[in-house]
Amino acid sequence: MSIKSIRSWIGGIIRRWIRPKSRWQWAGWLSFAACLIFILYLSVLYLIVSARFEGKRWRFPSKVYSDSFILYPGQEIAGIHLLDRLNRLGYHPVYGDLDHPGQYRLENSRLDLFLNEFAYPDHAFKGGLVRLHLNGDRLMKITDLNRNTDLALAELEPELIAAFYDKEWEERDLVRLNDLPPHLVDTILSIEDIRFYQHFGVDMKSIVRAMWVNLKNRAIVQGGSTVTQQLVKNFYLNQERTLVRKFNELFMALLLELRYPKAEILEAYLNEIYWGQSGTMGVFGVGEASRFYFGKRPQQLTLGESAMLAGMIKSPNIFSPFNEPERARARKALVLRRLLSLGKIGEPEYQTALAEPLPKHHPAGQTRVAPYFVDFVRQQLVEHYSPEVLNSEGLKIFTTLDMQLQVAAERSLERGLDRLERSYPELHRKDPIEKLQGSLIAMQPQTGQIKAMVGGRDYGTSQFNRATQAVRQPGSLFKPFVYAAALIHGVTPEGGSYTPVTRIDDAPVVLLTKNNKKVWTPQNYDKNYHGPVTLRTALEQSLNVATVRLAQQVGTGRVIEMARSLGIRTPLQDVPSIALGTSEVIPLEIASAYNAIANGGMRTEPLAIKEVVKADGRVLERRTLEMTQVLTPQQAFLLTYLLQGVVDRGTAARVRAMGFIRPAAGKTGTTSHYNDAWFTGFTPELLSLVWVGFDQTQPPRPGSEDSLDILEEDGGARLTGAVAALPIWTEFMTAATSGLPETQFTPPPGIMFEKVDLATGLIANRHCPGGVQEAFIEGTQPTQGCGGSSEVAGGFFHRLKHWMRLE
Amino acid sequence: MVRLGSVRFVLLMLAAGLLPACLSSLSTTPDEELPLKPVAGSEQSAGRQQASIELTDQGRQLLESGRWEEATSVFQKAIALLPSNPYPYYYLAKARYMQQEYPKALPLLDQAERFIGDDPIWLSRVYILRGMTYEALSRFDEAKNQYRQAQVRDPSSPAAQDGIERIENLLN
Repeated sequence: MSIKSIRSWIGGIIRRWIRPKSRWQWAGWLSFAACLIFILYLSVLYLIVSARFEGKRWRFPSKVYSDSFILYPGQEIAGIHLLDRLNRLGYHPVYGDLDHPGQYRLENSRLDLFLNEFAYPDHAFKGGLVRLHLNGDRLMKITDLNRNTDLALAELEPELIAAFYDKEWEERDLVRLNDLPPHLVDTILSIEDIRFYQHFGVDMKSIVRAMWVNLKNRAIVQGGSTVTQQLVKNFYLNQERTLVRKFNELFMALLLELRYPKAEILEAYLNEIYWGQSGTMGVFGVGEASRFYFGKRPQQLTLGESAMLAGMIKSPNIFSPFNEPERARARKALVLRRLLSLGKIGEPEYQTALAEPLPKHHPAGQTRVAPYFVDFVRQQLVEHYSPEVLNSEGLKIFTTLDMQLQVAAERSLERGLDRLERSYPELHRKDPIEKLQGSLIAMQPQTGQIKAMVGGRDYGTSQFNRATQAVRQPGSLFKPFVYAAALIHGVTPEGGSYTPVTRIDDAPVVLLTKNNKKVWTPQNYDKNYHGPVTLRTALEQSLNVATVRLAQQVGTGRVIEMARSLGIRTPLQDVPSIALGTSEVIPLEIASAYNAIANGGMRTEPLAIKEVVKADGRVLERRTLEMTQVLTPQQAFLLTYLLQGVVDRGTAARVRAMGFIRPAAGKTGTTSHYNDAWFTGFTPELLSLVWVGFDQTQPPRPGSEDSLDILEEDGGARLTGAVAALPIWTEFMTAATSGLPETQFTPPPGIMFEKVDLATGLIANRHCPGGVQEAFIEGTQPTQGCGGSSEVAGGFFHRLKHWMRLE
Repeated sequence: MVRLGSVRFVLLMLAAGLLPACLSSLSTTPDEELPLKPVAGSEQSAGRQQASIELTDQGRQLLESGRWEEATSVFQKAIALLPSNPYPYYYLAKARYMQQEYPKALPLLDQAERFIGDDPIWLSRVYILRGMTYEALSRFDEAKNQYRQAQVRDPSSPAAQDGIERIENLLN
């Protein structure tokens, strides 16, 4: 067959069949085209329906949790802010019997608590009743009321601190249809779609009835939508009231029913439906609604509670038991009457359900909690998980944050900065961006766990995290690294080892800068030189000149090496002034370095995330405690003991003046132009660091270090560590340690104490009465007493003398 | 070079052969029978000690049933609650050892030792586990030294004697 003949054959067909010759043919062709378009339309709808139903139906935000909190006998209830913790967790007080998780009842000598169930990374806690026996404010005993046994501890579940959302901001807790109680499903279908199991997605009877009612009322007062249609509307379409949308809804509902079983459609509906608002977030699905309104899982819902939830679907905010309790009660009664009229329940069940009270407690809406910490966590997570995974996979991220400490940290920083601005008006800036700023980090030395983090004054104004992203000069905060290097690696000019009583000359020193271009003569804050002083005095009084001289003797290379081994990662400049902290560092690094000293010389990595758990409960990641020994326990103790002197007698003595009496060690820091004020200090179990300053560095001013006096002398608003940062630290640590037993810095084996004269470093005797107890690594203690006498420290007579004098 | 390599190879093989022996001795050491007693004077709060010890005990049971990861979490919880409780450090080190993460076990044992005080039985246990860890790392002299220290603290310890004999046989 030639091409010509094919052409003529096709032309014939067109002439004969397609070119219409009559109206009927026209009509036939138009109908055919319409059918084609309709089939195409249905095919598109089918593709839309199946694509989402087959794929991932919902996006679940990943949620960030604080650390859990352990209750144990001996705690002070007020000290641990138990009621605050319970309130934040959504527990609410009741006066009758406790019948729901999330309730508590406080009486004179006991606090009954119905603990929520919670899926911990390693086990699922089923919840239960515990009784806290109190004596005054003190927790004396914990009893498991379900088993009637005493417990050594009870665990309060972690607090939700954030969720990583995409733009939709939805809270949803997926449930399976088989897990739901039949009465809940029955109740919802009775009020929303009683013929669900009879229709094919669209219920003509309901539509006709709704039309009749609407016509009678001359307004749209009743809808005829089935559960399937409602699902389609929520799942695929928008809330517009147009004919096109209604048309789409109708056919999509039919297609959905054709393609999927009823049970699957109902399950999707129950997980999809909107059930009200929690602050800025929508409450979606029966699982989340049950948790939000009743603090329990849907399986535990009573008939009355089910009726309330079913009644809310029509208009969740209008029938909210929190916002509109009367309407909610009336709506619940209507649902129950319907169940009664349908014969689903009997009169006694009706009466019981009707008498059930509505939930009264209104959970706090979601507000930003620990935003800088959450950013820090997210920053760490995005190294391993894509934003898509974080926003949609429903991961649970368990962190180390202690919410009560976080609240105390935020409060202390805010109050401290306000106080400074009030006391020194020249620190006040009108522009929020230029305001005085601050940051605070609290860590547990033994685990490296970050317990609190505030990265700035107002997250809304600036999201820059000054605790983890700022690079600032540490000033005198760096000095302990010089002393650590001396005590560990240093050899004195006489060839001996450095001890806390080794004397160093605080006398003028002239140094050349790295390129030998400039002469640098460091000065002390009081512009005086103090002559030969012990290492202790030099550190306690934060003497610049003595410290620079010591760094020169030890070698700045060794100092840098020490800082590195303790955990400083930011590049450090090998210049003489490094001894005074001129090389910039990140606050978290400094905190981490001090942490190693506080932890007996063991460096732990700062830890914010403990576990990452998948939505199905599988642990994806577990970050464990890892340590590196960077100082011996004896060396770390010597440094700690020196830093205790800073707090007890030195530049940080204001800590004591402010009433903080627990054993504490710490160091102030101020940079040369008063741009940065620091204080970091620790008790045996908690370390915190405070930085105060301006984001933009201020013009250079003459002066130097660590002194309250400078402020007074100059009469100017100079930020020193002792004035600006120390009070914030003290306020925070007072709150953070309240209710906890006082612990001591325990000297490790190999440490001995000797009473020495502070000025000379010699053993105190009748020639220099007084003196202080000094710690030494055994064998390095002084042997000479004041006045030239030879004292064999540690010898029998010496010990006898001590025993007689001290004991 | 070849000779040195061969010696290392032989030592490694011997260490690999010793590992099951060490593991079996670890699993037979009667940790379970040892009381996790409060460390006198280390804390004022008996309640906190008891709670931390309870958690340690829970972790120990998980460890015995081979649920190392879960045990690790519980030990860390015990440490966070009472950082001066030596036992969770010890068991965390044991978990690391069982997971063959030997270098990570050592600092944990140092921490345990630091907080144990002068309890000779527990010190002996720390030295034995440290000895075994050194053994697994082919640091035989240090291992022997640890077993000796364990023996000094607890002369009746069979694990210390076994360790010494094992190392002596290996080195001779």
